[in-house]
Amino acid sequence: MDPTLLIFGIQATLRAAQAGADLYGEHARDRKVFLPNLELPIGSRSIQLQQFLNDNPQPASSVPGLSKIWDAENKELTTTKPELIDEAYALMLQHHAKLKLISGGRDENDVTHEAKMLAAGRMVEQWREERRPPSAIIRLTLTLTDIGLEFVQSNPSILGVGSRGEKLIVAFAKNMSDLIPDDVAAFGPRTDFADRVLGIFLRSGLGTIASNASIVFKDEDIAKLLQGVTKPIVDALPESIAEQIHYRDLVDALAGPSAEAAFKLLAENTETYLGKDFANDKALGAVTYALFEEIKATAGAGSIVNVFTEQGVVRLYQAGLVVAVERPGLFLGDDDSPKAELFRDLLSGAANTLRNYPRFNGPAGASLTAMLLEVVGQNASALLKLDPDDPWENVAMALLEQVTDGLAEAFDNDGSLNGALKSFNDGQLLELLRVIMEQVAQTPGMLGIERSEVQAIVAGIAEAMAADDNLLLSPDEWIKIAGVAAQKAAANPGRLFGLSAGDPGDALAVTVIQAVLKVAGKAWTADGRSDRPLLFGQSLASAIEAVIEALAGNVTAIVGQQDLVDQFLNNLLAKASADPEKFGSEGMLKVFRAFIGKVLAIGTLPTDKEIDDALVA
Amino acid sequence: MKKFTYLFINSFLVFLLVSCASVEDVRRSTDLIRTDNELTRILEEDRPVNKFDAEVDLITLADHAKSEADELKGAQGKIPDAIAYYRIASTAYWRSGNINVVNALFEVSNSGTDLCNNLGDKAPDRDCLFLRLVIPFAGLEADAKDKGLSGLLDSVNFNDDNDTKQEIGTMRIIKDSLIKAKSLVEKILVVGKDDRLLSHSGMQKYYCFNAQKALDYYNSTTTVFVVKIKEFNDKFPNKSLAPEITLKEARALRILEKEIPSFCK
Repeated sequence: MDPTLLIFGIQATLRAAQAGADLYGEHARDRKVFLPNLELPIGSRSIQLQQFLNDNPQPASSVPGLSKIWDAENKELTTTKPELIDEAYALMLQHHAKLKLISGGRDENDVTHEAKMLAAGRMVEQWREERRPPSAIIRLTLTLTDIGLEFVQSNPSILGVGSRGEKLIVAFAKNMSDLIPDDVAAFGPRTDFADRVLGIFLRSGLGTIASNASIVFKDEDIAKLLQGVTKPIVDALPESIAEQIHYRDLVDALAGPSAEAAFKLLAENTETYLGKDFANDKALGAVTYALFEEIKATAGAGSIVNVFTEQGVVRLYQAGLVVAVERPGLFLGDDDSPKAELFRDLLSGAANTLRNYPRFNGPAGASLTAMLLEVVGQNASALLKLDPDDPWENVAMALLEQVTDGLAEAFDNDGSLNGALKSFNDGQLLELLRVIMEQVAQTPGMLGIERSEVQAIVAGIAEAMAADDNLLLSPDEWIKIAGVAAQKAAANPGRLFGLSAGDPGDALAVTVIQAVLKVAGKAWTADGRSDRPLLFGQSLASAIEAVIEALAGNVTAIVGQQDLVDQFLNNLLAKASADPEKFGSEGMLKVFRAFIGKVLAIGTLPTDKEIDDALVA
Repeated sequence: MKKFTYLFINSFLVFLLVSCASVEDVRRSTDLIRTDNELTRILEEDRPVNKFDAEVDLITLADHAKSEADELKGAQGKIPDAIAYYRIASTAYWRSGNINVVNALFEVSNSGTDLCNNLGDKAPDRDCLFLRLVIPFAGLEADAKDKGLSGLLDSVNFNDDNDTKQEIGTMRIIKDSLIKAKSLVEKILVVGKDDRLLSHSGMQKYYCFNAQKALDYYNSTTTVFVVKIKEFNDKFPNKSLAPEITLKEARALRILEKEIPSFCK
């Protein structure tokens, strides 16, 4: 090999390598690189509007909401008032959205609604960018959007285009401005709170829709719900921070269930009364305002929450709403103004009454009050006819007092119930009173402040039950007896239980029932049942029912000789004991039913032949 | 033969020296590309997700680019590389947003600009134009964000018929901030006079977009400031907002000595 060629080869390689390195270096320096843009804050709404109006003279002069804040000559805003700026800002976002849709090929006439939707979307983005809180209306919009998105994930079926969920959200959006007072600046700290309460109600509404495939809420119903239920909760927010803390805690606990109660009621009414107006928002407002004002006013130990518990308060609220929907006039004055004081008085009065009865503290007392409220509410028109000067809430309070006073007969000194009532749980106790109240509801004449017929019935039954120390009857059997007694007492005013609450033991029905129990109890020892007892449980209940029914007839003899029933029963039991093959409990009842009317009327006990004939009849 | 042997040995030594130099050039070029790519990746992928982590990474990357640039700035033929590294360092320091690296940002920007000036017509267009812009960009951003001008303006409300001391103080702060912003915006507008922008379409677009953005921001903010003063005067005709804050002065703030270049319009 020629050594010169080798050297040239080395030199060529060197030149090529250097040229390559240079070219590579040039490429490294000159190739396209990324240069970041300026990152300036998007600016407040005022700043964005200033820029938008400066750049877009056409909408600045032609759109009223924009032109009224624009000085075209000086090209500057005329004001920075938040309420005007917020309104104009929404229009600006709509304008942007419209342009975006049109540039995407959409017809200008079709995009107005969608532009509004897009504008709402832009508002979300805007808020994330800004560090200061958005205005009330935007904040509420965001809440609706967030909750809607939240529900899309868990319940996609209720939030499609044109779906029931979408309609509900739109209805909320249309009506949420009701929550904001005209003076936006005065809204101040309520914004967060209103936002929270609105969210609670929307969740409840969507939850109601999710669990009921046929429910569709109307705009006007949602408007009434927001105006009548949501707004009073927001309005009742106290001024002082200390009171607010307490109130917010309570609302956190109560607003959710309250909203559910309201939507449940709305759903029921929507299903039941298609086309009918759901409710009068003023009446709803009176109930809601009264509840939350009462909660606020009676903090601590004196609170109705303290007496009824949160669960109980919601039950009461639900009852109040039912009455407000069914009988809105009860919560409205002559000039159609809401009368919140009525419900407040009722709540505080019930709490004061029941505070003395530990057994009726908590949800049981609330359910009792709610039940009475519903009975009175449903029969208010009849009651008002009885005494137009007697306010219906006084009747309700009087009824509660009569019931509790009546039950006082069954309370021991330590506040616990005695006799058969000691085996009653809360539900059974309420059921006992419910069967009585059902009868009262059918006979509104039993209600009234001066007339204590209800109290006499409750007291009489309680007194009679107090005699059942051996628990010969189950709670369910006593409830059935109470129903029969109430029915007969309603049909025979003053006869079975008298009208004197002073000594219910003197009442005829009480005397007779106690006599029956006394006889039955003899067959019951401290260790339990004696040999062949025939009078207990179902047979005893049937015997008492038979006596009560018979008391509605001729009672001439028993009035003068109150031990007639004892004699009759003892006689029957003796015969049954002597001749067990002939008498079973069924036979004994057959004979008892056949002759109790005659015994009460003329005081003559049946002969052996009459009994034998009755047994084979 | 002996003569040939010497020639071969000498050529081989030169080959070794030159090839070592080429290898180093290639390594540096590779590093420049890698550093640029890493900068882009952090800015486009990491920073939008986690600004805190990105800030740390950007400062680390900027420090590396600065050390490479400082090493190259005295070497003959390596000035463009040094300027490229200064451009990377200034971008990374700026975008880190960390106030502790402000001095380093000034240092790399000034060093790069000095090198650009020394190169005269041979100065790389993009990198040198960018190095002129980065300081006013960073300054304007800092002025807007640190003071929170938008928020400050919104915190002043004379429409409530109340002029608190705090609001008066805030108006003073806003005015001082706007004066600084005005100077920075004018610095940006001055760059618009640079002839290189006329023929560099990429940089022209970049410049116009950002200059317009700066101008819009400044004009809108200043105008709202003017509106606030008008509202004060309307609400409190017998009061003076502050001796140094008058409507006339505020309106004067809106007037800039420079305009956005015609090629941007």
